[in-house]
Amino acid sequence: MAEYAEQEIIEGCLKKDRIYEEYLYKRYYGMFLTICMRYAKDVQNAKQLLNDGFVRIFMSISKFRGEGSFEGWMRKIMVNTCLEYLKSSEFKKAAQTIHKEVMEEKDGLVAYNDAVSNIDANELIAMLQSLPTVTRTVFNLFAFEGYTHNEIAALLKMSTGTSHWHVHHARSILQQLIMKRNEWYERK
Amino acid sequence: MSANEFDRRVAEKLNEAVFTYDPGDWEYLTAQLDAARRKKRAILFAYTLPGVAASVAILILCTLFFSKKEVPVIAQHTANKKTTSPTPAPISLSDTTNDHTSPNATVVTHNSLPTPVLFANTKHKTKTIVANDGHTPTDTTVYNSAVPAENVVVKDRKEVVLPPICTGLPWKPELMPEPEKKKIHINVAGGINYGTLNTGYALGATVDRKLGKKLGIEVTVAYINNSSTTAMAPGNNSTPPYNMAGHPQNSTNVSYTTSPLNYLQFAPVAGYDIFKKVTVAAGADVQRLLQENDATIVYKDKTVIAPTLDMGVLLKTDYAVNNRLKGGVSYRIGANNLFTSSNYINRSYMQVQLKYRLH
Repeated sequence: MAEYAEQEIIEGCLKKDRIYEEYLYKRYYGMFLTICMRYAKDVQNAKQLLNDGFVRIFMSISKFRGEGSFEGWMRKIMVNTCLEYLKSSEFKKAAQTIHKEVMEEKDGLVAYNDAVSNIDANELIAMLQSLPTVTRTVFNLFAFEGYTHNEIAALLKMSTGTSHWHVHHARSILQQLIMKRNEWYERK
Repeated sequence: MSANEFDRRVAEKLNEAVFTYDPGDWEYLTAQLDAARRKKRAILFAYTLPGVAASVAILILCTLFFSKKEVPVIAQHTANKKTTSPTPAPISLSDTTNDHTSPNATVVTHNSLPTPVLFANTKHKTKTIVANDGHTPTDTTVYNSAVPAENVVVKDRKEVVLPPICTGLPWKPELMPEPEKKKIHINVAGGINYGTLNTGYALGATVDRKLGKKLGIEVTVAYINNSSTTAMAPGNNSTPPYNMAGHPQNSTNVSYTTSPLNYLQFAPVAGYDIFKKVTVAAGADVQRLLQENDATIVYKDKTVIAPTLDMGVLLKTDYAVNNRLKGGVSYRIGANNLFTSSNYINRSYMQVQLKYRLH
């Protein structure tokens, strides 16, 4: 596959040149599919979100002013596409549930940190996808996108306490899943 | 910090995920992208179309408006034909040679088109197209072909058949504005007066006519009644004696008679529509005293003359309540002493008036 400079790709996409569009798609396919996998429930859903995100990117590429990185701009569009998809009525209803209690961090989290290193990435994605939608979304935004609790609260129209709760809830479930996975391998 | 470490390790692990590129996904995306672009174009088109359509409509309307002096002739003609003959009479062609035409000329039998009709045939034969007597056309090539305009002759005949050039115009005759008829309206009018020697009522008729879009004239003929009576100075033999209680006659040494001053009004005024429903008007107001001679009357302890022909200026404003009913207020300024130094009384009064259009 021919290598193109970023500016060349952008100009090609602005001209709606399929060669450059396909090149851009191939180049960021894996990275953006990973993002979508974190938000989606399954692979099909993630691929649908990926394509929706790319359609948005191609349709609005003329709005990219060159301020900041092109990758960051595309990544933001991709995350927003995922968030908009998740903002269904079910999501809104769940997001409005107020969780005031803050879970205590369990002892021995360091052990789980080590366990994460031994897990396959696909297994971890499967674990993430098993999280409840709102919890998964909040955890994604907080742990991977770098959003603060205040920003998440404003974005998803929930309290910061609820955002805290979802992050802790996600960690808790992931730890339990990791523990069960390790137990299963030990038995095996 | 361990929690953040957990998140970081999860993120790192997730980034290790490798997804093999699936060309099917790209195919799916291209289909999606094409659909999205088509939709965007359709939306753009949908937004711009009304604007373009409106511009074209305005352009057409402007063209029609500025060329309306020529168009109504044909439009009127077509419209008349439509009303008199719902189904156009068929045209029969005959190859009879016309004595009044040159060779290669087409004779259009037509009596109401003001200008020669610019259509003819390519066969360059002399043909007479006549309004029919119930026969179907034998040769219709005349409609779709062309002959030099100078070869076309219009011949008078009573029955008229419009050639397709008239009916195939891009505009519709019914879209053409009807020329505004300058109608004469006849109204009955009545009002109440209040003013110098004139508190009473008025009853009459007005005739108005539009001179332009906003300009018009109105002539009022009315009977002006005075409910109050006026003290007559001695010597007014023509007026019958009246006995009025509370009249200032007792305060003077002269013996008075009293009589109402009734007039016949004739007031031509010119009006201008300042708003759609509001008209202002001004004009002359000539009133004839309904007695033979000038009346010498006492007014504010002075003896003055009420002339038989009372001159004044009328200022009025009308409001159209609906198509037939109008309400108005007018003010009459007496102008008897405008050109003479005679001791005439200037009768000024205000009138509240209602008008109802009969015709």
